[in-house]
Amino acid sequence: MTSVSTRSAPARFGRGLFGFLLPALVIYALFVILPIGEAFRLSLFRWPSAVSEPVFCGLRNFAALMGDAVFWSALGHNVLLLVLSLAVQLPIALMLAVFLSYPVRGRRLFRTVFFAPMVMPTVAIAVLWSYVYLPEQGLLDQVIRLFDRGFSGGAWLGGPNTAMLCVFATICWRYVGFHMVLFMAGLAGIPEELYEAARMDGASEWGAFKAITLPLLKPTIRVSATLSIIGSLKYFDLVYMMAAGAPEKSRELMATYVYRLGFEGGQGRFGYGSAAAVMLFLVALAAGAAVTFMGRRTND
Amino acid sequence: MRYSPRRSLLLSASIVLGLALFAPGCRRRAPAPGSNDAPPGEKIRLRLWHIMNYEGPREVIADAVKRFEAANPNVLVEVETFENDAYKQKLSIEAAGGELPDILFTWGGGGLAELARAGKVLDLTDALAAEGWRERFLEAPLDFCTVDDRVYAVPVDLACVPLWYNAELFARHELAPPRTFAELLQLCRELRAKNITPLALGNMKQWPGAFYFIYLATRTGGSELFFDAAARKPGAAFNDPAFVEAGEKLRQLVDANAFSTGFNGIDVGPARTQFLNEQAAMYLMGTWLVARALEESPEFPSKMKCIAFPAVEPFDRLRPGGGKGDATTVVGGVNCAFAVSRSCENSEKAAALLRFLTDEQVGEEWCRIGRIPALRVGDEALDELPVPTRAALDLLRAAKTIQPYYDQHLPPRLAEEHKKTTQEIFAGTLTPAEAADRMEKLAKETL
Amino acid sequence: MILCLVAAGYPILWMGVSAIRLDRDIRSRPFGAPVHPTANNLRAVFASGRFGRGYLNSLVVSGVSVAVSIAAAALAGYAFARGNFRGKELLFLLFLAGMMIPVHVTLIPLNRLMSAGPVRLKDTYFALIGPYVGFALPIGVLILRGAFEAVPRDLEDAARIDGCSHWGIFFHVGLPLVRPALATVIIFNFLTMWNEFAFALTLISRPALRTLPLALWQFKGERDVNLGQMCAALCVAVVPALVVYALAQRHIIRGLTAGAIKQ
Repeated sequence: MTSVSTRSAPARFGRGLFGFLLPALVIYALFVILPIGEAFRLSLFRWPSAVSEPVFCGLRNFAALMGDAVFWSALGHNVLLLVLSLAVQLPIALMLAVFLSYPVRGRRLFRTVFFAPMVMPTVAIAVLWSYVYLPEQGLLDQVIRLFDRGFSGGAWLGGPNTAMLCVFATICWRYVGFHMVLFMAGLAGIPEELYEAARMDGASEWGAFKAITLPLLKPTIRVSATLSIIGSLKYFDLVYMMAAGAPEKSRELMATYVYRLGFEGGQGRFGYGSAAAVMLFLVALAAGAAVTFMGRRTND
Repeated sequence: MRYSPRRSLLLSASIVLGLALFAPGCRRRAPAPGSNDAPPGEKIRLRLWHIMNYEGPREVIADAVKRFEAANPNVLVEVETFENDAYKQKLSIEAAGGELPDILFTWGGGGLAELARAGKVLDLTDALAAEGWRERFLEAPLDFCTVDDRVYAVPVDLACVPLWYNAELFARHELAPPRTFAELLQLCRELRAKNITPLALGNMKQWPGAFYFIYLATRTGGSELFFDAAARKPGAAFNDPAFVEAGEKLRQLVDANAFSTGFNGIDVGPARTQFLNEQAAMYLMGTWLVARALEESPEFPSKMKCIAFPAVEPFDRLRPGGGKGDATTVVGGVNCAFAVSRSCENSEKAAALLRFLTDEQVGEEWCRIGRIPALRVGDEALDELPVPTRAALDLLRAAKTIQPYYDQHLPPRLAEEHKKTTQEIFAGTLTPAEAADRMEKLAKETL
Repeated sequence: MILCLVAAGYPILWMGVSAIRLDRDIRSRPFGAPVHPTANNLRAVFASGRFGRGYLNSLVVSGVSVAVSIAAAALAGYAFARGNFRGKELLFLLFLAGMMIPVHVTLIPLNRLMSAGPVRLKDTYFALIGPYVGFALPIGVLILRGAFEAVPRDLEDAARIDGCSHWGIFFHVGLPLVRPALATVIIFNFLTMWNEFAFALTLISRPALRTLPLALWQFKGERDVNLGQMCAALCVAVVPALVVYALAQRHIIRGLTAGAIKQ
């Protein structure tokens, strides 16, 4: 490592630290920057078949992508996931966290059970929930049958309208615990005295919640929301594994579409897939920038 | 971070304990042929990839490999098995930029053609001419492995897709197997009324449903129509009214609730189980079903019978040269063949291994596990075939034409489109006419 | 509330119970209790021999990746916090952008890059370790930069006056003070890498190198008809992680949140 004269002024002192940055920078450049650049490059080519040589075709892939209904539906699903994560997952997590902030019996048990799905490999979750959604014999249909004897079984993961929603439910199951725990930590940081003061002033539970909890929880909510937004644009695992049986337009996220274009069934549409990947990158970048920008604005 | 020695000890102890539980699992692995830990040195290594990863075929192949290694002590064969779809992906990735294994599994047809035309696999025609190797094969499967008059793979398996039905269940309900499409529809309605799933179907992977479409298309329009469309002969197209009509008939079946509930979300395995558990009365599936059934429900195959897919009233078209679907045509193909990659450094040894993989013993054992070999075998060997497979073989022999699976005959991209559009016909998100048009559009672009 | 608990926990319970039931039983009475408990399913899972390998590979890959990424991220975080070199903010933004990048954008290129020519990384541990570390860096750098910036300057000045070099200050003063953040990053990254599926699927072919998610996926491809066996396999894949989690729960959760909330 670089050594610097101990009597250097702070400014010059800082300069030597560039060396510290090198390991991270090298790895990052090699495994992240380089492939992304390559993705941009590949998107300008066309592969007639998986085993043939690539042919330069300029921006034709992007033009085709604009007219690709499957791509737009995939983008739509990503947006849907984003909205659902913010509108469903976070509130549920918040509710659970608030509930668990009161001294309730078996608190530890609740927390354990809710967070456990985060520790399970996604493959295990996909397989397990595929059984839940299995038509007729799966747990879901069996539960429904308890209430409605004549139920003939639903095509959950195969149906064009239900596939994504079912997978989203599973995604919620997995991540609720994570957000709940974040909120619990945030809640723990709010001083008890504030609540006591509010109670003495005659505020209701809900009033106290609105006036104290929510505002003070804002930073935590922001962290959760940011992670949710970024995560939902990048999502791949469960949707790929569980929704494979639904028709094309109903089962793709952008990430799964990129994967399938390149690798499924030996198609080898690397150029087109790379173009979709580039689009995914741009969308994610735009969203990230928007989030950061909005975050900065509300911060001041 | 609070550091609690006892907690950490407990943690590490449990981790170690856990790993210890798995160590025996590592060692107790079923003996794999050509184990991976032989010392490197003068041994020649050959990599063999295939997808027969279940009991029966796996052992026969492993056995052949062992015999090869015994006869060639300086060669080590590394066998790796994959699941069906994972293999297709792997293969395309490797073919595109990576390293193909020395000996690779193939289905022949369009996939093999693509590899062959790109120069990725070796031409085996000359090797086959030596020592009468070629005569060991039946002609039809060898045709599936032929591209532009040269042979690029050696077939081991021959399969066809009859309509299986549960004879005992039929007898119990006094039903008769359907001979025509109209009878099939009627039968499905009756079965549904009795709360039995008429046709088991697990279409998540899209190819099982495609069988129905292919049969309906070939019964309606004849096999030549498909071959001509694939070869882009003038007058033949994928949106020919015959294909649309096939799609319409498919919709009739779907609307009659003939298939397993939620079929598009079910995989092949669970669908097969429905048939084996007698929850479904019929199953349109390939002859490899028998081997699986023997493994999973040994008592069931005795109830299995098969018939050719029902005949379809000939579709009236003003197409010169006719080609009305012949009712004996059977969908089939080569479900196990091996090719040698061009990047193989020891093609002689690889070819020798192929000879072992297609020798007499393999032929006989293939029969014994319930699959039809692509090799010529004596009648005693054929007698070893389980009864259902024998019945299927008779159907196969009676067939005037073997219709290859579309997704094997067509190049991969068109094959994917075919599977996707067919699945959408099942789901109702595309009309048969739209699906046919999409096929034709892509065919025009890529073929 | 109880309903949520049941909804959340029941699938896991069912999985565990099904693991010891016969396949036939599960199909006829999915909710029932095990009438004929059998160890056959577990035996089949162990006999396939690939879960041991899967665990080993996952541990190696995740462990090494986490170690490398935390080291690189800590160094980089410190550099961004205390450093003063040209282009510092630009480089930081570059790392930040990495957080937004969906990893799958790089699937196709990485796959081709790794198969090509002299750099034959495919089918080695490095094929996974490289990308895993690469994509874990942004969040690590972000969190650790914040943590280092919060370290009081006086301590550092004191150390400098005493004659410490950069490395000394970093190692002896900075690091110990950012322990909570380190814990957060380590746990978060480990969880992510342990479960990672897409890269493993594309970049690893050799069965000997398959990580746990892949091993499970392969098992499913072969045996997914037998619900009992599948559940047993799921248990094998999941239970050890659950056990570790149950024991270390408090630490894990505290570690996870401590560093994150300080943003």
